[in-house]
Formats: sequence, structure tokens, C-alpha cells
Amino acid sequence: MQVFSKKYSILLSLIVVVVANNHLLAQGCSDAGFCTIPLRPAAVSKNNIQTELAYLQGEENTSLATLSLSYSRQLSKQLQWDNKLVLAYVNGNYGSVYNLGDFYSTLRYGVKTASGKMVHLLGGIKLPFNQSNLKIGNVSLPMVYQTSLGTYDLVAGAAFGVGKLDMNVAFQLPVLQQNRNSFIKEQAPLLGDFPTTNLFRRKADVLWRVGYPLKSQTKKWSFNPNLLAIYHLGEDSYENVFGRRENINGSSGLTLNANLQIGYQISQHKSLQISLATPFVVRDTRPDGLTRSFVASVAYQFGW
Amino acid sequence: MKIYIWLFCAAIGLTACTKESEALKTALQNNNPPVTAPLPVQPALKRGLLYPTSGIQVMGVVKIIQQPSGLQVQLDSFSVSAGPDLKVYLSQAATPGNHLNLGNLQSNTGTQYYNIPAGTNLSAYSFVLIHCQQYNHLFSYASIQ
Repeated sequence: MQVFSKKYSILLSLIVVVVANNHLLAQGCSDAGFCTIPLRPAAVSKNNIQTELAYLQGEENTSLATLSLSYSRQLSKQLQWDNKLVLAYVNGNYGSVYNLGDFYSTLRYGVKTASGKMVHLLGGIKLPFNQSNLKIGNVSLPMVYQTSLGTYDLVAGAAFGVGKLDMNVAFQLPVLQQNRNSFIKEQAPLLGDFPTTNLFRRKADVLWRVGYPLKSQTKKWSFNPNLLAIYHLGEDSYENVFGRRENINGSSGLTLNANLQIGYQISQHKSLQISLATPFVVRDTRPDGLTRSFVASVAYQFGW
Repeated sequence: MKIYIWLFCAAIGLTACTKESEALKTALQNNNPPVTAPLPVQPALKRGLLYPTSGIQVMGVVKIIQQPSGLQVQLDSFSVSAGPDLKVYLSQAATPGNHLNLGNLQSNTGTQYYNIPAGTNLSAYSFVLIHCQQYNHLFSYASIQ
């Protein structure tokens, strides 16, 4: 690996220090991929398969492991089709749950601007594989134990460069709310800080990622320290025991994450990527259960 | 490539597993201790017969009883068709809407008890419902007098 300049080394060191701090609290992002869907093409092959294993630490002693399989196909020079399916295993004080999560399907279109720069536009859908009401025995579980948010979402985004910075913006809008979670705090058999999420309704998110991609001189190694901001556009709500809808105070607002992606190009069609992330600004309440204090993942991609 | 797809398919085949923790098992046992002696029969403040909706089988009697810990709904000599997300509601009408959710149905058969929160105005509720919340389907209702 080539040695980077002093400026880059300092920047990388800062990111690593932030990422390594496990005591910071929670992020807010759909595990199934809204935060991890690459808005920019990552491979040169016509067909690509990626498997990714991720470990996530949540609140109240919960931890998650996810296994995802992605398939992408270059339909034309400008157009790429991406699909991602996620399996999730959640473990915590209530026990463990293993189930399918969400499925993403997106189209990405690359256009050249008048100044000759490439902009990649993305549009797609997220489909849930369950209604977010997985139970252990007859016990309703908080959202953090659910492997899907239970919503059908539209996803739109764009990736473009500004100088040496890599910018990604995206929008995730729940259009069909099929969440049937039935967790009611007052009726829960275990004490805990999980809020009531009975018939939970979720608001939209806006994502903004700014990265500073670096490559070694041999192009084998790549580093992308980046900041990921997610703004939750409004307060989520639930149905109380009297059948009335109530907003969840503090569930809207900003989450700010530090993320470091390290890539290694094994060959022209094979690559490895490690990603480490942790939040340092969080919403007051994260009833959707997307409450990670630390995320680490390793992905292997090959194409043909 | 094929091996990755087969491995992932195998992983999918193992989906929908759940396992309770020791902490949850203990908490559930403490909340519902095994009955070792007949419970004293409490006089019913209100009672009614459970009736099924279309396609559902149900039998049993609903009673509102006063226990030392507070008011309870008792389902007596009870059985109902299986459902994915059955709840017990105190309701102002024979359909959900103006109701009080008392929690998940504990079992499809047998006598069972549900706490009514302190401060509940019992006179406002004339029905007990067994309702599938996940698919919004009413299974059974009882007019309590």
C-alpha cells in the first residue's frame, strides 16, 4: 500500500478515532440498505454479486447480524439495475429472532452534465418481507427486534462530485405503511426503555453523505472516510391502548454518523470492502429501533 | 457463483426462527404462575356470552371481576379459532374503534385473566372483543351486562 500525504493521514486518523468510540450512541438508518446502497457504480463488470456480513450493536443489550445478497446488472452504458435482499438475526434481553428483512430494487442512471461531470441518479423501491410484528411465543417485541420496518418505500437519490468530495443525497418515502407492530410498553413482560410502537407509522428520511475518497497509487486500496447525515422528516406515531394515534416526541430530527469504508481490489472483477460506522449526533427518541451504536461490515463482490 | 446463491437460499430456508431468553421465560412464569389450587370464585360485576363472527368458532363466558389487585376481565370455559395477532379489547361498541386494548390473547383455550388499568370507567364499556389487530379482523364479541 502506498503512503498517503500527511493531510490525508490526519483526516483518516480522526475518522478512525471517532469510529472506534463504541460508547457513542445510536444511528438511525434502515439496515436493509438505504444507507448502504451505493449511489455510484462500484464495479466494472456487467453482472455483479455481492455478499455482505454486518454486525450491529443496538440499545438495551441488543445486537444484530445481517447477511445480504446483492445482484446488479449493467443494462446499458448509463443504466444499472441493483437488487438487495437482507437476512437479519437479532439477539437481546427478550431472546433471538431470525428472519428475512427488506428487499431493495433500484435503477441507477448516469448522465453527463454540461461541464462534463458525471451525475448518477437513482430511483427504486423497498419492499418489506414481514409486517414488523414478529413475536417470541406470544410476546410482542419492540421495533429493535423486528427485521423489517414493515413499510413499502420509494427511494430516490443522486451521486455527484464537488471538487475532491463525493456527494450523495437520497430520499426515502414510506408510501404504504404495513407496519403491524403490537409492542405496548405498559404490557411488556420485561422492563426497558423501548417506547410503545403499536401500529407504528414512520415518516420519511433525507440522507446526505459527503466523502473524501482516496486511492493508493497502485489503485488496489481505496479509502472513503465520510460523514452521513440522516434527517427524519417528522414525528413517528403509534396507536395507544385507547385506539388513538399519538405522535412520538423527539422522533424527528438529525442523525449524524461517521463512516469509514476501506476497499481492496483483488482482481479486475473481485473486491473486498470493510465498513465501520458510528453515530455522534442522534435523535432524542428512535422508536423505529434503528438504534445502532456501532456497525461493522465486510463485503465480497465479484463480477463477470 | 452458484455456491453463494445456494448458501444464501439455505440461509433463507432457515428463516423465521425465534427463541425466548431465560429472562423472558422467568418474567412470563412470574406473571402467570402455574395454578396449584383452585382460585377463589369471584362474583362477576358484569358478564356476557361470546359470539363468533363469520367463519370463526368461539365459546365461553366473559366476566368482569374484582380482584385484590384491581378489576380484571376473565375469559371462562373459553376457546376460539387460532389467529395471528389476537387481542382482548374492552369496547364501547361491538366493533373496534372506541376500545381499550388489554393485551395479547394469552391462549386460544382455557380460563384466563386480563388486568383492567386502574382508573378505567367501566360503565363506558359494554362489550369485550377478541380482535385480530394485524389483519383488522374481528373474531368474537360479547355484550357485557
